[in-house]
Amino acid sequence: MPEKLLIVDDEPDMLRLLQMIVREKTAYEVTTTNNPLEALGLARKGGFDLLITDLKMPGLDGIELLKTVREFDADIPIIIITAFATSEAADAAMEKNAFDFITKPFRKEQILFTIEKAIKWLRTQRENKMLRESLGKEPSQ
Amino acid sequence: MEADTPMNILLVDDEVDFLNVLSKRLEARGFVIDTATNGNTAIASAKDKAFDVIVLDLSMPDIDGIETLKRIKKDNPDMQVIVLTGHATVEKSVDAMKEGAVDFLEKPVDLSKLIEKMKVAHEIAQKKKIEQQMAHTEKLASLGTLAAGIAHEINNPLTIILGFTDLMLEKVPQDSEFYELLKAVERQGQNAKRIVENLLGFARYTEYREEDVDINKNIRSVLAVVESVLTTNRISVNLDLSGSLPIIRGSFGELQQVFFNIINNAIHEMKGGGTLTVASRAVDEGKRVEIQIADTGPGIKQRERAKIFDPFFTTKKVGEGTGLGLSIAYGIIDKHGGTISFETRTRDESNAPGTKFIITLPVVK
Repeated sequence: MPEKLLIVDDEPDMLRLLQMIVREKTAYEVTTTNNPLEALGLARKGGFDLLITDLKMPGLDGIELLKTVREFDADIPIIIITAFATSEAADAAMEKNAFDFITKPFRKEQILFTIEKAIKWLRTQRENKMLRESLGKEPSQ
Repeated sequence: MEADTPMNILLVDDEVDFLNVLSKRLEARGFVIDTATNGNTAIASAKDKAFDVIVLDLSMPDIDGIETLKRIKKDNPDMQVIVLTGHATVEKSVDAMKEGAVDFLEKPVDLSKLIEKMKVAHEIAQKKKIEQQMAHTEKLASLGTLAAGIAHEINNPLTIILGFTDLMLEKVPQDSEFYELLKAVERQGQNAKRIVENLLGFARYTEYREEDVDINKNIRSVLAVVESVLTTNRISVNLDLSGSLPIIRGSFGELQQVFFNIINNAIHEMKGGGTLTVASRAVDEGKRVEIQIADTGPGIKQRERAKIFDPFFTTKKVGEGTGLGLSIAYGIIDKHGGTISFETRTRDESNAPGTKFIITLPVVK
């Protein structure tokens, strides 16, 4: 089963571009929304393996979305896309447990590389969890 | 000495004896004196040189003091002019004050009174200048923030344009006309991206981050920004960058700012054309990197040399310079443990006038 990606950006054209990149270059399933509150609802329902969100959005910005999702899902990797290539914006995202951040303007290779990295990480996490469960004990670390 | 740096005074009077006596007495008190015996010479001198105060006799043949005052003020509204009147006619003094004289004094001149008035006039001018510069600096700072904000906003549409172009280029056959057109869109999009990056690079210089800095790369990035300005000003660039320059530690953005400020001044000095020489080399047995930036401008005037690194000191017109460029450069180089100095020759001093800034930065092993 291919992994499911949820992408949120308030700019429909950006959303379309990201969707096209993922659909054409990967086998992952993509759901998109330009409404961050809808994205929150979708994430709450579950079933997504990766969340990609823009940083600056009206209503609910990327950092707030990240923070809220983390309240009910500690594991899902979240990639933040930001036009603010400053260390503060990156620090804020990483502090709130973002998986990684990408700055605009990005090349499609960057997006694809970061998605691959996140999915690999997720698969490893899941494998570890399964192994731990099969061992029936918590790891020492 | 009357002050830390001597005040430059222009004395204007048609009575030569009076002029000579007053000059000598003021020079003895540490003032630097220029003289003019008529209005036209005074106007020309005031255009040529930046005087701190002009002391102007009101009754002169040809064009009188009031007319001279009017013309000086027209060229330089901030010029401090004290008028002298031989006949103590209140009306004339009032006229002069209306035309922008800062003060007046009756002849015969009481020297200590004149000096006192000149000092007050100078203080007023300094204060006014600082206020203007502060307002300008604040305006610049908010302009920088605005520019950075706009640059960020532009990144969004730019990402979309470049992104779709990239995807479409994969779908269109390489030998089709559309492929060429899409390539043009991509090229221009990349150009816009570079402009935005440069804009952001300079708007961000306050953020200090120490990193490995390739000085040659840094210099080239600054030259790329001013390339079109150099071309329009008919300034040719002579680059002599050492191929084996050691890497230094510092802030890439801040060092860009230093080179930008110096090169920007050099461009300003070479109105009508010239040659900008930028050289880098390792010195002190590879322990330091030296950068030389030289222009073929008119050189820095003797009396301005001590002040060039002072904040708010500028020879540019109000609105053209903050007087902060070199003081910022000095601060940044100092923070990097480096040195900054200059050599300069005016036309009076050399057949090949110009100014050369020499910066050294330590190579940290």
